[in-house]
Amino acid sequence: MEPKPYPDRHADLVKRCQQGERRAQYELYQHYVKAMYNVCLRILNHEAEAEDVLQEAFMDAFSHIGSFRGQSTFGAWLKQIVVNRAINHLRARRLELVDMESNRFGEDDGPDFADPEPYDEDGVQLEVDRVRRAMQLLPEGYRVVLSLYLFEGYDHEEIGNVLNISETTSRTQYLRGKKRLLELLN
Amino acid sequence: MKKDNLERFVRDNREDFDDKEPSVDLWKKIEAGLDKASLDNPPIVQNNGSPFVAVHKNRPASGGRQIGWPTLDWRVAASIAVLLLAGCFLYMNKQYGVTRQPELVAANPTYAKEVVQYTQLIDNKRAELKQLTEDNPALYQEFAIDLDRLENSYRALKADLPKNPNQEVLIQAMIQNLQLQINLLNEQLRVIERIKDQSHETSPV
Repeated sequence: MEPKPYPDRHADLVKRCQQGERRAQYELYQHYVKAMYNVCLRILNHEAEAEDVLQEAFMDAFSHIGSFRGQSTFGAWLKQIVVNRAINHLRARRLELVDMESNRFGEDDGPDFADPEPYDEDGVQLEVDRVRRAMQLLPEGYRVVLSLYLFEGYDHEEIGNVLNISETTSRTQYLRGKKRLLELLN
Repeated sequence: MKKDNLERFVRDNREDFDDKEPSVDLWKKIEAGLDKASLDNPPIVQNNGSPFVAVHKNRPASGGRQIGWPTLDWRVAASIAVLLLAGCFLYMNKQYGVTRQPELVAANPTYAKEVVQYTQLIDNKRAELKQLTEDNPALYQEFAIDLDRLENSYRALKADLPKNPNQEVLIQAMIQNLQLQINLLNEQLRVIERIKDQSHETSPV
């Protein structure tokens, strides 16, 4: 008896991939490539690097698909690989630029604005494009926490694990990042 | 009470945010990468690639798992054997340092064991020293010079070992050298402790 807590609509494709069928790999790729590319792009904020990371992530996923046991959906499993790879890429990138930009995850960025005063969100013209552009202007630390929480549905505990920061740090980073984002949108 | 509009906005328009497309040749690159990887290590044959299949004439048709000798998968047996061997080797290596000092083990296993114990002690103490002098790299450098001098003469002794006719004397000299290193490290650690104590007394928090 195999427990199937998450019925996966791609279970059949996954099975064929596990047997190494190229056609099935391509179909799964087609299903997920766009969403995963945008995940990468939001984290890395750089198109060529996002593609490189995506390529590695897919290769990684297909060559280790034998270890996928169906405890989550294939999409969730794949996204985990993509996010981890993107974060690692950011880390490597930061090692190269350590002197030029020292904006680490969880590090403070400017004065503390994280007061509980309610944001004036009604006045903000929330449009997809403007939000995206504003996201791109955020410092890296804010951008990553915001995209994981707001877009990828991670909770602060998960973000803490992925970024090696505490849950509280993730929470404050998120609040500050969001505040900054809303300022940029104003 | 105001609802959190940003979160809601993103949630409601989540699909619209995923509008960028990667370049079309990305799949080609992935495919090429996968091909290369499968050339490097060919995929394991999926359907029971056991070389002994033919021997078991009446295998269970369902392929269901049964505990017991006749059906024990040869791969399981092989991996257990490999693990046991690896474990033995690791144990011996830890005790006698076979890989680190093969010539010594060949010459005299009892001494080899002693040497391993001393070198481990030295490594630990050195790590401790390094940690304690983290805030004072200059001091560590000074200590390290003395230590390196002893270590170099140890290395010279070790290099002499294969061609020396009187191995026992030489090994004893090596052990003496290691003991000297340990004494020196102990002394240095004591010095650091004293420095730390003093600075604590002079600048109470």
